[in-house]
Amino acid sequence: MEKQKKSILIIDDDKSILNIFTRILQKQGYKTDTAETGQEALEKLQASSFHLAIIDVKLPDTNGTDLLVRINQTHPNMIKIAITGFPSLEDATKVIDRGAAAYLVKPVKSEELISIIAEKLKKQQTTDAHHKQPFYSFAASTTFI
Amino acid sequence: VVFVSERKSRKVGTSRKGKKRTDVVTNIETLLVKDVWERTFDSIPDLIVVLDNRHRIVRANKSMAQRLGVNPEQCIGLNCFKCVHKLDAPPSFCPHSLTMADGKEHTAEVHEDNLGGDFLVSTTPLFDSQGQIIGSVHVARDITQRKKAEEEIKSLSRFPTENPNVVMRISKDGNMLYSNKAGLTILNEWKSEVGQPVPIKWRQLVTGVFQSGSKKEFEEEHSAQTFLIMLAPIADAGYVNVYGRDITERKKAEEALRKAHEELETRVQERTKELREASEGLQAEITERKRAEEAVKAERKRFIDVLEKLPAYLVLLTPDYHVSYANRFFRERFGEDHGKRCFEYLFGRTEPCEPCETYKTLKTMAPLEWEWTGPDGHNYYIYDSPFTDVDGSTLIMEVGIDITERKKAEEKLRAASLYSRSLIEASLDPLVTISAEGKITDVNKATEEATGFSREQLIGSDFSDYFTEPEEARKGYRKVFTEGFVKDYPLALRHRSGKITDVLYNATVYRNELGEIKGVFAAARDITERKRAEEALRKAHDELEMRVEERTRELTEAAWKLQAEIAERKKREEELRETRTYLENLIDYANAPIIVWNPANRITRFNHAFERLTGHKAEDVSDKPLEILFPEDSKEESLKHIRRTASGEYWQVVEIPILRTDGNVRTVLWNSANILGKDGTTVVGTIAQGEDITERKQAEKSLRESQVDLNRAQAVAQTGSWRLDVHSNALLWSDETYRMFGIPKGTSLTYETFLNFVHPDDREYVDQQWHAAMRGELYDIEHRIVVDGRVRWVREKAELELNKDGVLLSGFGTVQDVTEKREMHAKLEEYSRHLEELVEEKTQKLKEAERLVTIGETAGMVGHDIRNPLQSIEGAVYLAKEELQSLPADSSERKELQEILEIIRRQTGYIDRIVADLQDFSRTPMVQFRETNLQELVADALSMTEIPENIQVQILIQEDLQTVQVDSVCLKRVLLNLIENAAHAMPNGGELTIKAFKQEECTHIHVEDTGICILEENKPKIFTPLFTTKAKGQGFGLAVCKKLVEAHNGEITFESKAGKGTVFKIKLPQRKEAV
Repeated sequence: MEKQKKSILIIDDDKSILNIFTRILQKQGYKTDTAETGQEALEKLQASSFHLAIIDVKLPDTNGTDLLVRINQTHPNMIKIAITGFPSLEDATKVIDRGAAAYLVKPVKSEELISIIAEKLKKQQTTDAHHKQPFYSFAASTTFI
Repeated sequence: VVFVSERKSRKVGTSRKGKKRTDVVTNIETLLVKDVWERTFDSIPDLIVVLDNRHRIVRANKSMAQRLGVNPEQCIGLNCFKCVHKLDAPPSFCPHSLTMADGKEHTAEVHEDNLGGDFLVSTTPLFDSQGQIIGSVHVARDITQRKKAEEEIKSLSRFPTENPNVVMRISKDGNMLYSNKAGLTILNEWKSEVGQPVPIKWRQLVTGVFQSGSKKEFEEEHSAQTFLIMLAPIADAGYVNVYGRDITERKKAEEALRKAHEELETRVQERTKELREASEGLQAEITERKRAEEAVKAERKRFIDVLEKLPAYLVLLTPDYHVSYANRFFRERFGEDHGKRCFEYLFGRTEPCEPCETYKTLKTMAPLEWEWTGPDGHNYYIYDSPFTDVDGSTLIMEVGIDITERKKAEEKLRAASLYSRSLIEASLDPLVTISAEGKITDVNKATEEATGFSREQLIGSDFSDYFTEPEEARKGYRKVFTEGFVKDYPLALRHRSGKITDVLYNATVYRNELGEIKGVFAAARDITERKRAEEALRKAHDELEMRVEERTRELTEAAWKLQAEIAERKKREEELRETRTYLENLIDYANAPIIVWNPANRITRFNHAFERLTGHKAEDVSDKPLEILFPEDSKEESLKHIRRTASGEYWQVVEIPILRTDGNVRTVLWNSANILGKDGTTVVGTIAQGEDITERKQAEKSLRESQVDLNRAQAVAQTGSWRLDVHSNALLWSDETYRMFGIPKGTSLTYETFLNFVHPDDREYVDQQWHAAMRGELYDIEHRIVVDGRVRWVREKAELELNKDGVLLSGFGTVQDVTEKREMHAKLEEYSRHLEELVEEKTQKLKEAERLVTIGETAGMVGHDIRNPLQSIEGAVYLAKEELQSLPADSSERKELQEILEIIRRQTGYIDRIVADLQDFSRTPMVQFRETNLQELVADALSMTEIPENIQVQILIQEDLQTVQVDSVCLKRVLLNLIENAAHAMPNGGELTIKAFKQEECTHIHVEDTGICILEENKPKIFTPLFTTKAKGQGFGLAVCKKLVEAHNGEITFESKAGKGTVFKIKLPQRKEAV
């Protein structure tokens, strides 16, 4: 059964992360695009539509959570996965409140990232994105305070 | 009922209620039957007539004819109401008329003098062949005898019933057979009634009396009334008669008397004034008692309560047949009237009953008594009387007493009319019945005893003859007639012997069946006892008055005597006074102070010299106690001297200070002599002469004081002094110096002995300085001495006088105790040293804090910066591993690369942990308390770390500690850290134990290992950040643990012993609920 290609936007200021995530996700058969700043991300989202976005909470030009709010307003049905290098419970609840479907802490295991994305996209397809169900997930290797 | 028709077509028929009919028999048979019937008809003693529908006699039997005084044949055709009743029309009760009207049987009780008595009449209808009524058979039975007997019984039985005293009859086995109205008080109290057993106590009493066969009398309380009860056995009849008389009033009077007597006796003992008051009190008490009696009477008038409790009904009826009041008894028997008229709701009638007995009383306006059978089938004895309501309207007051039981009893009474008589006879009160003319008609035994006349003499005589005041008696009698009764009417009965008995009469009118007054029934109550009691009370009162009078007289006489005695004394005193004046002058003008006092130590004489000494005036101190002359501080001592003189001793020279009026104290030397009474031995006074030695004493005292002052000054200054006597080589020390060195005053001393007190370490120094001083140098040193084993510091200064050749002439020095000063110095030094240490310590801590802040700040930054490359490395390793899949599975290159990638991955994980710890430590933990399963939490933490197989894990969690209020994420992190540390401490295996238990409101969690212990020098540092003993440790683990536990308001401590291992103890205060 041939799968229709899903598109993912990766937003992170670290170029090597963009590079690695692009490779991993393309290997899984997704169409990907990247953005290094919040501004760039907003532009790309306006230009074309994505099924999912991976958003680094800490970006050089904008606060990740503010970016989430803006994206959630324009793209409520797109799946948004927040990712951070500085985990905290406050941040976690903030991003989930602002429409993120998952909150991941760096370094997230590649296998886990792949499975979460797959799961979210599958759910999006079946529920037609009418019922957003936040999914709380933390990298198992990371102890979270 | 049988009849024979006169008609030709003869018919024999029986008829019941005109419904059933039997017809015709044949002629011959009829004739035979007729003959038999004819004879039977005539032989029946009842009066039988057959009447036609026009009241004509068709046939009469022999009995009937005889009553009319004719033959049966002569009766035929006579008009029944004319010949029998001598009337022009049938009488109202005529049952024949009724039968003719309705064709039914009727009966009536008829009194007919023409036939000679009372009859029970019944009529039975006769019908012709067409069923038409043609006449009736009329049978009358003579019941005259029965009626008479009933009358007799009623009149007899009423007597005990009406008796105001209690009359009862109890069978020998203890069943109540009868009780009159008065007995109801007792019955009610027993909650019993006629026909039921009496209480067990009474049953025993009755049985006892019956067996003994003799009467028994005793007093008993019933419902606040006292009864004099008499039990009389009636052997033949098998029961005991009980008579009771209410003696409550008499008892009360007796009790009051007894009390009054007691009170009077007590009061006579008291003084005259109080006796008067007591008498007034008694008067008041008597008044009070009278008032109380009045109140009781008033109380009785409040009869509504009583009415409600009556065991008989009482109703008030309006002239229009409404019930305006019905008591409880009535309501319970016949229900509420709900505004219906009496005949409506009692009998369901639409019109008043005819005839209605009750309402007759309204016509006659006189009381009425009759018997009535109520709708409930009970028989009632009814008392009706007109009653004027408060608003003036006339009502009928009807009282109904259920006499159903009585009716039954009456049957029995018939057989024992003797008994009725015995009741009256046995009554303890004189009872009489008096005719309307005032003649005695009957008396009982008690009346015979009270008057001394026999029954025969009494009956027929005028009742008023037996009273001291016949007119009063007649007045009372008339009152009974006008008011229906009298109560407690006082009279005095005169006995034949002349003895007078005070009585209270209770009397009621006595009526016959028709309600006509036949006479008066009167019962007298002997109140002699009560009168006597009142008399005694009055006498006691009089006696009291008399005694008061007597006592007053006695006191007055005594006062007179005393006055005479006083006058005599005065006279003698006057004589004595003159002889004494001369002696007094002698004393008064003597030069030395002279004082005389009596054995009571009161001043009696006081001469001029004494006035000058004390400043007191002689006349002011006369008869004053000696004490006023003595100053407060020596008063006791002086009084001791004074007391000695009283025992006969006299003073040669005694020093007694005297207090002057200006407050100064004079010292006086005294000698004394005793003044003896006439007998030569009794001391009647003491005379003393004094010499003022105040000034002399003053001089002595000031000398003494200057020495004392010096000593005191030295003590205050804590400074002693010494003087050296060169010739004898003796040291003379002041008191304070002795005290300082702890030696008894006056101990002889030398320089050498002094040196022995000096502290051994200072001895040489002191000696050197002393010798230097001998050479003329200044001697001012501080050194230690040892006093009672304790070290003290002294400062010594000396002034030595030397001659020009340097020979010591004299020495004087001071010794000052400076121990405290020295100690203060030492303390100050110690304190400043301590302050320096504190500053040092604080500085260290500040430096440490500063370092930690820097670490924290950098950690946050570094964390993020390191995590990004970590993410890239993780992803890169993943990709590389994916790529490896393309190599042959068994190739050595693939295996080797896989191992290398695994190393990279593991080390990345390790870096990640370091970063996490760094970030944890730099951040203030946010603790969120949640109910957490401790068991699961420990298992979770254990599963997150790899524990080598040579370590045995044991988990001991107290059963009731399954859930705790903690931040599970934080606590898990703490446990993980401790478990990892424990595992590291046991490289060669051992036991890891995790315990949790509750103690003193705290949750305790212990993580124990049996591994290598923590070195002593490391123990204070293990919770410090960046401290680690591990080769691969960044040193944040325990610091983070401490931070997290403290965020729970808890504590973390540890114990570590070589050979035993280490235990980390977490103590968390218990929280009641989640925040």
